[in-house]
Amino acid sequence: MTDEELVRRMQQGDMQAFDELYARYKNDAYRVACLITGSRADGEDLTQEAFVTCVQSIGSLRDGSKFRPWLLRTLTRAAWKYCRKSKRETPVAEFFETGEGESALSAVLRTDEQRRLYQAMYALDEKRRTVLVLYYFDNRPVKEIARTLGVTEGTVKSRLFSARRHLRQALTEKEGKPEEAVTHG
Amino acid sequence: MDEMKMEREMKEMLHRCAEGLEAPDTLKTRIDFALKNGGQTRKVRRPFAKRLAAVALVAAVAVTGAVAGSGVKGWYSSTWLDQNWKDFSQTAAYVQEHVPGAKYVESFSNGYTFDKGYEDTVAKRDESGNTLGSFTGILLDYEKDGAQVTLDASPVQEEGQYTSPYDTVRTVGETEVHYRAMKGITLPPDGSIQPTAEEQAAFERGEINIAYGSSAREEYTFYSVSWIENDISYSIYTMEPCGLTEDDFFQMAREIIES
Repeated sequence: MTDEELVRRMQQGDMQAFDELYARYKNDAYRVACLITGSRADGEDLTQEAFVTCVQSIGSLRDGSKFRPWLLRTLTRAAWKYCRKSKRETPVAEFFETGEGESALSAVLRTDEQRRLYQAMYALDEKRRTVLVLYYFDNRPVKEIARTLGVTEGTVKSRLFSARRHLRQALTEKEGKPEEAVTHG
Repeated sequence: MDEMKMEREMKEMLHRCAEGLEAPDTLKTRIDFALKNGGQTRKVRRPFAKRLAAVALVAAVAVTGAVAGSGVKGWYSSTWLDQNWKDFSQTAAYVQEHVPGAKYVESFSNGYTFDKGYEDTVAKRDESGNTLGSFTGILLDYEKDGAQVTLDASPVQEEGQYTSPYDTVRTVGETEVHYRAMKGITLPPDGSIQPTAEEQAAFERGEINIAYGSSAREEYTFYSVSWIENDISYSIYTMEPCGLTEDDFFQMAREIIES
């Protein structure tokens, strides 16, 4: 059954259709949420919040085939709000220093380059980090990321450009400590 | 590092971080629970997965035989993510502020030691799900060799039924302390699995407990000791006693009462 059919059934009050959509996208949403926040715990909370919001506002989704980008849009908005409000972005350096096991997604990283990229990514503001996650992890083209985030393609390109520049700087710095990320746009 | 290599490393880094990340089974239960309760996305985190059942369970015990005419059909308990402390002095300060007069200890003589403290908010709802009121209590987890017991202290509520005819009762000082080892079941909150007629009847007689909050039907035995002192209701409970006997529970109650 297509997403469109499932959304239509949900809009008619069929919660089994929601169960199907949940099963289909729970891991996608959870992984994106964990990568944006850098924490399994926060990722779980945000995934919950996004699915609950989607159920509550399913009536406003006109094109059911766009359920996945709509879900991710809801998720990223919630993530931004969450990051700004509670400042939950634990500095990556702390993960290494304290051995914070539960949230340390980076524990699996083997090479120095990947660890420095990870640190650099989490020094970025949440909007640039989200673009990196959708582009490099979710393999979405710029046009689709723009639709998902509700911004123009130019904004996505601009965020990608400045994020890449920041990552490059992080990789070339001997100490591996990225400079403070710019937070605008 | 050239641009292409950096992009490859970036992709690989993110995919490595996401390796093995799968939405936990408890997440769907949490979502269903939030939707059933008006979509409030209470933040019950992983360490609370079991707590959700345990706390709901305590609430269900408390309302068995609720005062007729009170209108309260059930108590719905939730624990806030951002209201917990690993530091005992922080927890103690919170207790003094929000549940004044509540007693607690940092450790018990049997070796169970304070691990974490949480705020616990309980909403009172009528049959239609309307919230009639709420109250706040505190939960203190104590651990010993990986085993855990929880101390719950909250203000006494008029409609609450805090004892059962099946309790073992002893007196500590001037306080009546009730011990029970009660069998129970936890069911999904969406109503997809219902208790049998026999279980429902046993629940109404106060013989078993029925709680909601799991993803499938689960059976357990709930061990607790409870008492009321100065308008505060206390209970110390666990579902995994790990060798704790009835006498041990009474001794832990004594240590709180005499603290």
